[in-house]
Amino acid sequence: MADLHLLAVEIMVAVFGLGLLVLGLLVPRSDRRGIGYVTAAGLAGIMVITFAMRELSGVFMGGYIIDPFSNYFKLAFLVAALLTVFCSFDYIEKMGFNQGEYYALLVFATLGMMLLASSGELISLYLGLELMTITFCILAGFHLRDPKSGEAGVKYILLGAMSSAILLYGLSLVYGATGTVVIAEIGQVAAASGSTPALTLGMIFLLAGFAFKIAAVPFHMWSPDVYEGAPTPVTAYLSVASKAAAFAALIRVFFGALAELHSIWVQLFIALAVLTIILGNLVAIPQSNIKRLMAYSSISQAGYLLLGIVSYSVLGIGAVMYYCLIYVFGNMCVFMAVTAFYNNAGSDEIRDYTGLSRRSPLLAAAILFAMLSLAGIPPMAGFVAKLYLFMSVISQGYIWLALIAVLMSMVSVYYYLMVAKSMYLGAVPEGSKPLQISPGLKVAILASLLILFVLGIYPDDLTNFAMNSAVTFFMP
Amino acid sequence: MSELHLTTLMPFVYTLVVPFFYKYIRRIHTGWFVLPLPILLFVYLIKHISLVARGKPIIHSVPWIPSLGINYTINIDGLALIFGLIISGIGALVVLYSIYYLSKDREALQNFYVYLLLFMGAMLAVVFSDNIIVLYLFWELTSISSFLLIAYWYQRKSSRYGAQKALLITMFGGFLMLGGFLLLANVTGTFSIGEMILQAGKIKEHPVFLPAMLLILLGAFTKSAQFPFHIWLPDAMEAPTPISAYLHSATMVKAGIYLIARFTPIFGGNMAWFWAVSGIGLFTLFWGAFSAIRQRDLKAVLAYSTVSQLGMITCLLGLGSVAMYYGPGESSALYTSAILAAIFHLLNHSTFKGCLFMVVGIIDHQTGTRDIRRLGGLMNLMPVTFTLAVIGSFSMAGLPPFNGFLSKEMFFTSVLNASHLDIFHMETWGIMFPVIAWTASVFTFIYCMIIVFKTFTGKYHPQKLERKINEASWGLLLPPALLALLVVLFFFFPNVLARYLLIPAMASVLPDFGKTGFVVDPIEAWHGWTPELLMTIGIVAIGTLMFVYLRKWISIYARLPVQFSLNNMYDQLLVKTEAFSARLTRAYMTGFVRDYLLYIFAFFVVVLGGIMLFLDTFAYDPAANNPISIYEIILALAMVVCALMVLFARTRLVAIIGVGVMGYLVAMFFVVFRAPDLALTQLVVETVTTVLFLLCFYFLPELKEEAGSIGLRATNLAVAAGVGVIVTAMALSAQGNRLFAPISWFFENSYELAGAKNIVNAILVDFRGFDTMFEILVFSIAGLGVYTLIKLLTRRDQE
Repeated sequence: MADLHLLAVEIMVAVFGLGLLVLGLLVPRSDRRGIGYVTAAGLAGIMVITFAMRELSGVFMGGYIIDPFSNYFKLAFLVAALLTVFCSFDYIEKMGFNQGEYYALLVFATLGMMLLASSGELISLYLGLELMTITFCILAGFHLRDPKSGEAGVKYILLGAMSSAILLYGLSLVYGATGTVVIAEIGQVAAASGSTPALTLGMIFLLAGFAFKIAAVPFHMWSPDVYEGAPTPVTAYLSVASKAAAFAALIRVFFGALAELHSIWVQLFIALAVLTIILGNLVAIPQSNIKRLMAYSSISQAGYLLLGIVSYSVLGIGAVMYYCLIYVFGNMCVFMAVTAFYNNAGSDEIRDYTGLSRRSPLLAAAILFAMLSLAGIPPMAGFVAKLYLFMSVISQGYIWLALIAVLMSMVSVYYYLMVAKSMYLGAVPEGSKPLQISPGLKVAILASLLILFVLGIYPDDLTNFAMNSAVTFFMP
Repeated sequence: MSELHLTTLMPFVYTLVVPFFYKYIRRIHTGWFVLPLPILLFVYLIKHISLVARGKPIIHSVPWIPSLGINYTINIDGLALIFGLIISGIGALVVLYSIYYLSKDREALQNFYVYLLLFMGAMLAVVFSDNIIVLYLFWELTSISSFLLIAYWYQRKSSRYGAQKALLITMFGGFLMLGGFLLLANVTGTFSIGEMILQAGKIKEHPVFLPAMLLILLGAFTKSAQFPFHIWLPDAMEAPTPISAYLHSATMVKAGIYLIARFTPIFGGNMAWFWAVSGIGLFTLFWGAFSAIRQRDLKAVLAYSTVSQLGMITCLLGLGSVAMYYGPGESSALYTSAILAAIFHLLNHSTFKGCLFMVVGIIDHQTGTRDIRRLGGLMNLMPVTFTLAVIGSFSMAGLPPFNGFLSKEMFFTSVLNASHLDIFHMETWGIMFPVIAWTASVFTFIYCMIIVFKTFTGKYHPQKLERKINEASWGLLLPPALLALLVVLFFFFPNVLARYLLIPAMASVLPDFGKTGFVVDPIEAWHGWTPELLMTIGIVAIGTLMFVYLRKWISIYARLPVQFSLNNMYDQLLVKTEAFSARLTRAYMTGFVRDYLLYIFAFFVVVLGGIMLFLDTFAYDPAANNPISIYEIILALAMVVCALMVLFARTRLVAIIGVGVMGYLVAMFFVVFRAPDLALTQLVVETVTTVLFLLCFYFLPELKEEAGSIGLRATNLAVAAGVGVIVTAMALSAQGNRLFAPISWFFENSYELAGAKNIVNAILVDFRGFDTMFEILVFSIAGLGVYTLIKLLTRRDQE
């Protein structure tokens, strides 16, 4: 087999996941934390190797693309996975069972995302998608004794299966219309033949399938229920990495295979983006559960990311890439803090966060600054990310779209502020103790916060890398 | 990083060390450690005055996001310098004042000074930045630090309310301003204000001119508390008084004015700009002064008076922008003087209003109240404070010998000039300007008198106060005294000020004019019996009369409808939005998967149907089909019956069997169409899934009849029918495509290539060997699932 070295990262992840599964059987049940530490160390190691290999590029067997674009996303997934593992230590220990399986499933989900980001043909894309979705189904329902978690699992299975079916239908239509599954070849055939009815219909199904995965309105209904019910670290991972992975695949398919139809799909994506941004932000306002709030906020974030797709330009893709990574850090930071709070207080209700700034200044600051970043307030990295997205749509002439997005950012400030108000200005509940946070989680939270600041002040290296990776999609 | 960058960013660096001072050196008030910084900054800026006055702005640039062309460029020109001096100068006085105002034992001083320094740094960066993105960044930071400072006493509900209101309104404007900035950047291809000014002509002709202008103005108006966005400022008075003096009168609220002045070279000379800026300014001037009189809290009076004075400066900037219409020369000199007046008044306002706020702070500090009804007769108890209050108030009222008199006269000159304009429809509306300006000034005079006489003269009510009154310490009196000194000095030496500060600032507002030199008359107190002087005399006469008979007419305020007040609208807006979004959530987030599916399918029907209709993708040619045989008709009918059976089944078992039969019928289709391998696979898969279904559904509760309304049922029916129609249409048009070789190839070659006599076998194990293998794999896994479920069942039975 030629060029097997291109797959080094994927192979490592797969072997590592299987190894964890075996390890979970070997390690005695009393040893609770070990597997988590091994997972963290392993992921960190793989991350370093991936970073060292970030310039690697090539095509494996004609249908699996390794390029800076996919490497960038793989790094983002690994970062998210690593933070999720940090987030899981205490949470999973409290749950008290199936540690090995939990961490192995996390790793497999990561593998699925990597496949999604790298696949250059439709079959392996679908494979990656299913690997990711099915593992998340299990993870969402992992909290066996919690009926909400069970509900989350079942809902994710049902709606996930439905979205997969839709996507698959779209893939088969596209295959039927062009006679090939390799994305680049589809693009060539489509360019030669123009848009045929079958291709157009297939494109719509693909769009719907991806809209499911990124939780864009009106395909978003699963996300608040699943986010609320799933174990918090899983919610965190689901909200950032699976979204980023779906965006990576979406960019590959729509910019690679369906570029010929872009005049049609840009219109559809505009509709999705507008609906998503408006509804996601408006509905987030009355939420009283922080996980549900974050669910709606993630929905609206998907809407912002869609702006980059709408702009159909190098700047747009680069903006999406940059935004994805910032979003990983921002959202993970909030969720890490939420998990830490849950481990202590056993609640996810926003009213219980009152006076948090005095009980744990670190958690309160983490939530505050991460939310500021999500809202796009300078000097947080989220501002630069939003700036790029807005610039990309404005440069294509969609001024009204940018204005809607800007105005709705205002709404997002409002509901983030409600959380901040409760944390900083509320009274400390009587009889509450200072919170205990494990050192690992503390370090992870601080590191993400630091990155949010640093990338807000020095975004240039990263954005340059993103822009350079994005250029490949517009080269003849 | 240049020295300039480091200096202006110093406050941020300093925020890092303040907590250490607070924590480890508790004996000394933390303010003493903070104080040197603004003083040093002030001195540093003073050094640059002569250079800037000679028309040489100081520009330094460091790249920030080079890929977007965003640099952190510092540009200290006349306008920036005057703001920089106000920020650092008043900043130093406020810090000094706060040392005596805030107790080092009871207050969380580290927070106070960290927020204060954050604000100072951000505000300096706003006025020094030539880059709009950097400007925006620090602009928002000023909003945030203002929020933190208003909520400094967060235990109070009113503080929290005020802080939130201020943040929401200013940030709302900030976001819109960013939108305007991005539009401008898109037109000009640069983020530098300086470069944009060079392209002003191009911007004026571009269609985004008006939207960009309005968006940027909204940013400025929200920040500078212009009508109708002024409502946040009175509520912001919950902040500690040093903060009100600093942020909410001298500096932050002037950021909007700065923005208007900064963008005058780009937008000025245009009718929309003129009316938006001067019209809103004029009305704000009136409304603020009018509302100030009804206030009972001294700080609220000052807040509304700030609103009013800011309106006056805004109005002046709008009037001055007319000069851009005429271009440099004699004819525009009448209007350029309005810009001079604006900048002069900006400076004057910072001095007398800063002084007044500090005076009110002293009263609050010494007596424990700011309520006018509980105060009175303080003149003899606090003589120094009284003197300072008189200086501040009389200057604000526009009386000599204080600086407010000069700028007020210049303001009257400008409105009188404006009333003679014959452009921008001013020939009909021009007279409005002097009339409203004069009326507003009467109200201004009245509330200035209220501040002085209701507090310091009249009857002293010791029983209404909690403590014994005596004069404040020198530390509290020194900062306002210094400002009062400036109030007087500016009156006597206005032209020194004009030469070194005001005219250079004017040159940056009107860059084209600066090159040829301004035609500026020296600022003088006495011009003879001019209409302006008569207006002032009229104000004093009418104002005194109305002040004396205040009781007679103050009841008109009670008649203003409450529910139409802007504050009420703001509150209602928040309540309504929350209620609306809660209703929206309840309406569609039911938690039922079937409802979610309904929305999704409905979307599909709309989009797919729409695309098929509009793009005309439906293509069906019946002639291309084979004739339909009787078997096919029977099978199709049987499938329809099955589908209906599933729909109307009363138990799960029947429904599952219905689905299973449907699968077998599909297999039959494959048989009819001569695809034996597919038929075989389909049969096996169908069997396994049906078994799996049956096993799984064993665990589920009984099927319940859901009583849905007729409307719901009709919707369901419509969506279901829509899906059916769309899918049928798609299937029909898709089959028009034939891309692949027919499998008859396998039949022809099975013997030669595979050596097989059984065609089906050859296809299964040779031609499609991999397919078969994976099918077997899937089948085995499904079988494993069945096995597990059966095992679970038996185990449960045993228990």
